[in-house]
Amino acid sequence: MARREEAAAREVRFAALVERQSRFVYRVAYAVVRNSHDSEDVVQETFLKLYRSGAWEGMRDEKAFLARTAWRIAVDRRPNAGSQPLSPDLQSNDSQSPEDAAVSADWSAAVHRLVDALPEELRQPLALAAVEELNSREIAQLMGIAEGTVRTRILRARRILKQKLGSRYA
Amino acid sequence: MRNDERDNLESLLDNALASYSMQEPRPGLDRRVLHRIHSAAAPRLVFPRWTWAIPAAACLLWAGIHWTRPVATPGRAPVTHMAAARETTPAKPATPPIVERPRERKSLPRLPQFPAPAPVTNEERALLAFVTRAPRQAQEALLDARQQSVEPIRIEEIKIQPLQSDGQ
Repeated sequence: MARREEAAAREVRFAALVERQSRFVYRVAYAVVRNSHDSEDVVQETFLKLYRSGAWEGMRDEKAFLARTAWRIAVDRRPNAGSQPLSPDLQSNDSQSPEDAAVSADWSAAVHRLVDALPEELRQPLALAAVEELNSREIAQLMGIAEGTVRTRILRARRILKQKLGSRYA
Repeated sequence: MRNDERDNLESLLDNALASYSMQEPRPGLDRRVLHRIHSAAAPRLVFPRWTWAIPAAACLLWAGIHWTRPVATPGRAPVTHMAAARETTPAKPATPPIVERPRERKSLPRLPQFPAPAPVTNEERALLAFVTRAPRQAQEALLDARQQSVEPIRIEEIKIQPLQSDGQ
């Protein structure tokens, strides 16, 4: 009887965790996979993994824990993740360059395309930094790199984007 | 002027980057997640592998018992295993059951006299005429025939005369 009540209470706590953090996990996943369908799959897989392992009950920093788990699943799901060379060469082969598209049409969409064209090592810290609740320390924890490296990569990515956009904007 | 442009570019970039990861999920994400978890974590009935041995052993036992002890009912032919299996399994409607019909034996009519009288041959008819016309002679002939059959047969010695040579 007591065991059944304990299991019910556990279910309630887990449901509250899902309700509280599912949007945050979704954004972390979306920052990596850039696809709503795959992002939802990542969210479901993340919570299912936590539920089965029971690791969610011992979390100290639940946001960092969830972000790290979701990020790992999302990186595994993203095709050719991390295979791109660390190169600032963002020139597109299309007839219309990303810069032209940024100036002429939707500015945000053009920036997003430029960010997508960044190497994964630069794109992921920048995309995760765009998620409101993640700071550089948390990004460093979930990516497994130093906090200084995260800051450097974000600055480098921003500089590349500004260079590409600035020439047209001027 | 240049600083203003740079600040403007920074703010535009920040706004664009903020919307980069601000994708909202479809409503009801938490319910879908919980539903998936409950459906995936639902306990399944898992039987150990040896569980299948129980019905198999029961079938073997049943088959063994019925194989060694044929069922016989009075006034009825003994039921074979094939027939028993046929009775237990539902009959196929397409093919009617094969019924063995008993073979009809044609028995000869029972006669009042055995062996049956046959028509008289010519030799028998002549003998009857001889007996009725000359009964005494017939009786003597019968006695002679009996005596001849009783007396031993005499076989004379074989005499072979020597060959005569020409004296040459």
